[in-house]
Amino acid sequence: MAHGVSTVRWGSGSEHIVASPTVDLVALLPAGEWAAVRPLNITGGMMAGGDWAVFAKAKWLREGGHQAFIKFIVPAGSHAGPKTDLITGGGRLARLASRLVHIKAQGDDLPVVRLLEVSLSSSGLLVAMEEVTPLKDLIDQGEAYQHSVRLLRDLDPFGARLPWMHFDICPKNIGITATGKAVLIDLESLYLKSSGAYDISVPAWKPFRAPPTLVNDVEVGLATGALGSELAMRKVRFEVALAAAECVLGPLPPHRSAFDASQAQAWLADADPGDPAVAFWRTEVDQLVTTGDIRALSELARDLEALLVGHADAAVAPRAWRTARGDGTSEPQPGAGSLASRPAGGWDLEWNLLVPTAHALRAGRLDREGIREYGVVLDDLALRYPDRHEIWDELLLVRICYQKDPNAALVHVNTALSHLNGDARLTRTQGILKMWASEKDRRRGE
Amino acid sequence: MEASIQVWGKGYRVTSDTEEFQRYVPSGNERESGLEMTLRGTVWGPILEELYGVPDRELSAQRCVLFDPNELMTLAFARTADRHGRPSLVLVAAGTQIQWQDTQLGEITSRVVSLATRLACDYADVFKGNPENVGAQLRGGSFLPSRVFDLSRETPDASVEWPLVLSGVRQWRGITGVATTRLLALGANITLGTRYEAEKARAINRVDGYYDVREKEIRPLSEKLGKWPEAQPVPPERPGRAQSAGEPNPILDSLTRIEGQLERLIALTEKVIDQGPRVEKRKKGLW
Repeated sequence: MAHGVSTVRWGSGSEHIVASPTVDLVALLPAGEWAAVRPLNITGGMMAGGDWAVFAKAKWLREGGHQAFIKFIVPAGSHAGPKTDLITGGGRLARLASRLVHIKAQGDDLPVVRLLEVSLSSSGLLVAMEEVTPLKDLIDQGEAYQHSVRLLRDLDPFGARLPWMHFDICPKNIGITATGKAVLIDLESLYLKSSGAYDISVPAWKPFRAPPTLVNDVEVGLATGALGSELAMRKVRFEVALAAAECVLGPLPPHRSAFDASQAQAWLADADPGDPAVAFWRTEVDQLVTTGDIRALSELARDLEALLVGHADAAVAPRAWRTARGDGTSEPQPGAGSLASRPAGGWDLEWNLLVPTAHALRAGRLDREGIREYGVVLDDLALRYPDRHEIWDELLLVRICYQKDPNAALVHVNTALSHLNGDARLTRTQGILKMWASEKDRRRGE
Repeated sequence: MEASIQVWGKGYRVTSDTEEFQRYVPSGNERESGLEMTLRGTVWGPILEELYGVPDRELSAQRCVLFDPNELMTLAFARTADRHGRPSLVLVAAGTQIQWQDTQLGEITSRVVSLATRLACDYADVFKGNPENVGAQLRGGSFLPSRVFDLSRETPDASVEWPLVLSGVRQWRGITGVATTRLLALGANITLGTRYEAEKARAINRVDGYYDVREKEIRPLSEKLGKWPEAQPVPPERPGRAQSAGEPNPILDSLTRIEGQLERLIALTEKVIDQGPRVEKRKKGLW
């Protein structure tokens, strides 16, 4: 181990996480720019596995405030072994920092997560990026179905203004932004074309996810130095297509050998044959394990999209979520926008999803329409969770303090009392609302 | 467009400013703008005392924007707690250079307000319990490497129609700032509220007018406000509802009356709530 192994106290109060690298991110990050720093105990991946980096989530307070994911790479010490030195040596960190700064400057020209900050100091390399939802989590939860086409479109390297290749594309290294865009998140594996080829400095990838022919070609390519453009594009195309297929078919089962026909068969065995997207990917996966290649991503996206549009009624995703409403329909409510189309995933999940909007309401960032939409969503939630005090409190807050509508508030408090019979606080609120509503009606009548 | 911020609070000894309320950022002798310098001379005691009793929700809804010929500064408070769990307050002041001819002034104001409001909330969490690492950063000057914030990605504050308020401000001389009633003591002389609220606030603060939310214009309450003599009609930044001067508007009049009634009702309720604990204490004292 290059750096000292010791136990470090992370965070404050009772939050203790033991980690190896001797870096206290909470003390290191300027508290005026980084709030709510929560160290993460990530075990998988090259950096975490080698104790070469520490990870955290935090709120970046600049540019409107963003939830951020932080990776802090600890530099190799003077007694580091060759592997550690290759990955986290001073020279490599300096080159990596320079490359990331360049990537950050390209903005939307590259399909990568938005980099918030890249800074190199004697303590290490800080890479902060906008928080996104890892595609792997969505696939594991069966919520990635609708991202299949988007992945094919957003991560297509063909015709990019700035030619790029990512050496390790897999669901773990793909993120979905709040707007649904697919982006690459492990930026250390992103390379830009130089002199007609890609100079791969750390050739770390998952060969067990590729067919034997591709694995062999990549090994031969790497042995000659830089990876040629054609092979690089074939590798990217394959990896993106495989991830897009996993969105529909579910996660590729773990295996140690290369991805071949028998692996594919085992993977496809459980898929629903009646689903057109499943049938589509079944054909394509068969093709790619046989030939080791796959069609252009734009073609795949076009055909899959056409298929899904053509089977709009039949294409009910077996793993996709839909908003469950009390009246049995699954369409979002008119005007309720993105909030109303959120998943019904249990009280905790749904309540937590409302937190950003609740904060925006209190911070005065919701306009009248936004407040109305928020009310619609709360209404829907109250229908499904009528025994939760929290939802009635929030609903009453909106109606009384923000919409100043005593009659609507009175309807809510009456409904709430029918479920929470005898609640003293609600009964008192009911009394005040009755007075307010009757005063309002009296005034209206004058 | 950028804004530079100041952060004030209690619980850490960072600068040599007033004992009761410390300026945390900037901690050194950085050059300050004219409006920023006025904060140094502020007597914080009565202002903070008034705000301690305000519920969190109401505190976060308070707005204050101060003006001078070249800049505007907005101030936002949030509640935090010291190491002993006692309530405390954080103030964030965000200021930016302006040109009064700028047609985007209202948009700029709404973004500066949004920046100050959200940072006050975030810093309230950061200072809660006075963590030692935050104190070390404040004293060492590493808490905030730059107090300049980019405004382009700020979500505009939607709680007030800032473009219309600023259109009104441009038409009058003698305006030092606009604020909701709780923050008038910071130096604003126009109330963002009803005539009733403005007149009530005049008993305590200097109030020379109010922003009439119904007519979308500033109404003077004293002779200290005057229309600029050469003032051309300044087009509002958002189209308002056209209405002829003499057109009666019974619905709006009725709503105004109801609003007045409700304000009085709320004031009365607040008074009763405020007196509740005192009455209890008095009762206990008698026994």
